[in-house]
Amino acid sequence: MKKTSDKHYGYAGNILRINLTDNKIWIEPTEKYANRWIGGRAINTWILLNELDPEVKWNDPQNLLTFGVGVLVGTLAPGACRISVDTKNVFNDGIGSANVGGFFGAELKFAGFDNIVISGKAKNPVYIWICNGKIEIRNADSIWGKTTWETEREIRQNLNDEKIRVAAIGPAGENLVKSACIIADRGCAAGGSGCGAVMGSKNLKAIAVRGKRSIEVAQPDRFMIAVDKEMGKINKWQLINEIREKGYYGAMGGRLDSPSWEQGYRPVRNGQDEHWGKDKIAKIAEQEIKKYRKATVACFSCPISCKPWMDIKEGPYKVQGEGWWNNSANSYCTKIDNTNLEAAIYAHLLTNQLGLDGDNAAQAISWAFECYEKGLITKKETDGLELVWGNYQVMIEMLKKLAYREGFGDFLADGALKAAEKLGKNSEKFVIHVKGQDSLDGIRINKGWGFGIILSPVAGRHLRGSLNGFWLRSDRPINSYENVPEDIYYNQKKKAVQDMLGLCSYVYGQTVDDWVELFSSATGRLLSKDELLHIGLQTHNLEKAFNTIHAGFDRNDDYPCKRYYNEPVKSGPYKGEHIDHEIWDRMLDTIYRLHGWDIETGWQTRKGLEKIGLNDIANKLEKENRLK
Amino acid sequence: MKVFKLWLDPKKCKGCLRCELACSFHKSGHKFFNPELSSTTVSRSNENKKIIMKIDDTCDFCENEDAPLCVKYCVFGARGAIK
Repeated sequence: MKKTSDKHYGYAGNILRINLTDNKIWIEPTEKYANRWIGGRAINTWILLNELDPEVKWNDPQNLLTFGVGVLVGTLAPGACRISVDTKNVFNDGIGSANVGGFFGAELKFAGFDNIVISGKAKNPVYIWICNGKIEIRNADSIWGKTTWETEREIRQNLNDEKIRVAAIGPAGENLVKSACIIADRGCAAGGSGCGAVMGSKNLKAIAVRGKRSIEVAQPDRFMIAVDKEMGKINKWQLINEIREKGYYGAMGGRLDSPSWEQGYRPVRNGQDEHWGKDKIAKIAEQEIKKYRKATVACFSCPISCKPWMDIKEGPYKVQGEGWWNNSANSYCTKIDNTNLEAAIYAHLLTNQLGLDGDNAAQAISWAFECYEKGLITKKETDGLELVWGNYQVMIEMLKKLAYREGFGDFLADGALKAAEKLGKNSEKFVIHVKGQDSLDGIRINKGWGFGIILSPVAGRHLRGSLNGFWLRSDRPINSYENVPEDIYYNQKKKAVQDMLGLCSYVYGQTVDDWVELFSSATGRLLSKDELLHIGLQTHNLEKAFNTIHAGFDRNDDYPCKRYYNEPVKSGPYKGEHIDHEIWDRMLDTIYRLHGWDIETGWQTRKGLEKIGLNDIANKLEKENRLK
Repeated sequence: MKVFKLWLDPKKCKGCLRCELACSFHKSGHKFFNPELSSTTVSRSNENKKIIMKIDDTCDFCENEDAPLCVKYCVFGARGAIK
């Protein structure tokens, strides 16, 4: 890699290390990792892969919880606000990875740090206070037990600064609920992989940050030209004004005429179907949601403002706060067959307060609803609750029980697969999971969506390589298998680069060429498009290796759950669609070949890893007898 | 461009802080970003979304720039310049 200067432009320059067992705090230069791994997710993954013993479980003090801010965060690069949170996945001990926007990441860089690596476990509840390079580990007794919103409010009041940014866990993380997430800035979730439970296992309630330092770029005028070019594309986007007014759901996924309702993004009744009736859609679509949308708001340095601010002014669901996503319509509406929109909005904002990831939590709850429907559980097991489709009051009650591990909530708190193991009665066949993690998505119709979700090392996340997101307006037939492995192979590399740079997926019109220009002018490092994508490919392979070593995954873990083969879509224009097992097998062969992985086992090979410059990872896998 | 006054419209502001970044870029002589140095500040309440926008007397209306940078980089129409 060529550099125009030895100075680390674009970076804060430091990685903060904290061991909560002995309160040891030390700092490493970011440069130690950045020359090879750029930033954000890739640096986190490299540290996890090299420092974690495979015997360490997610809730052991030795587990590491890492926060990695993207390289472009803290600048005017459009949508540069994202942090990658990486750790051991609580559902399967493989790689856990969550990506979150808001303001916390930028503040962390202005406070002097690109990454935080937390090890150990505090004796009593604590929170970390990072202020302009100074670090304090503070007692958290007064905020332990409180919601994420109360936590932010109290920390700001106690430290007397309303500009402090807070990433916190709620009761769910404290109670080690596997669907617990970390909430930044009250409305932004680092969701999936149970990152909030890992944080709770360390007795770490929150990280509070305030920064006043500068982020210097290497070639400022060239950088601003690249920014202006991006802005030009965004401002010419035909949907931009509508999105700024209504947010992503209102302008795209939640429109009555959106393809999202028909193309399988929204599983119905725990995935029994992937199509919902128009009469029901009409009750939660844009014409209804707008009644509760006060405005839209933006993350740091975002020119889109996709997030609606919701405000229910009266009644049992009176609440206001940031957020209602496309996912929310799945989790709190279609999966439970609920059309009460006020209850659904309330549920979304409740999960933010409790520190629950809506995608994971709603999946476990909808599995329980189906078990109730099938007679596998009764009111005797559910604390008297009637888990009948559409019962939104029970859905909300279940979210609370889940977060506090109360009664039947405790039964579900380790995820649906574990609950099914306890229940027996063949109830596991109704669990929608990927590699053991409760999964949000329907995948029978949209093959490019599904293959990316199942192949994601982060156990079922649709932003890690999937094709055909409805916002992409692809010309590809939605149910086609054609070129799916080839295109996902490319997207896997591209998304890893996006996460190193800290850019939001929802910023329109970004190309890798644009990223090359932004990255090069910000950092002074002269990397080509192919070199950047190559590091993206390596990062994907780090995560794959982590899964092989730590979770023992192989080819068998790259298939969807059986429901998606055996039960075709029941209604709508794609009635009859399902996953074809033979074609899926051929797609696996193809993507393994592209990666240079072993066809039979799905494991990485020495030849494949050496070809992409990961000889050290090949040696590591060989030592664990997991290399072909 | 000689600017004599900037107007602010909190109703249109989304709280992205791009104005603060742009201002600090100007004030640093096109070298770095640091909202703390900005002459304009925006705060958005997490309680009720209320936005407060301010400009202090260190603002030089972006002398020597083609246009005030906080205005140029606000895409939501929440601020403008009066010549």
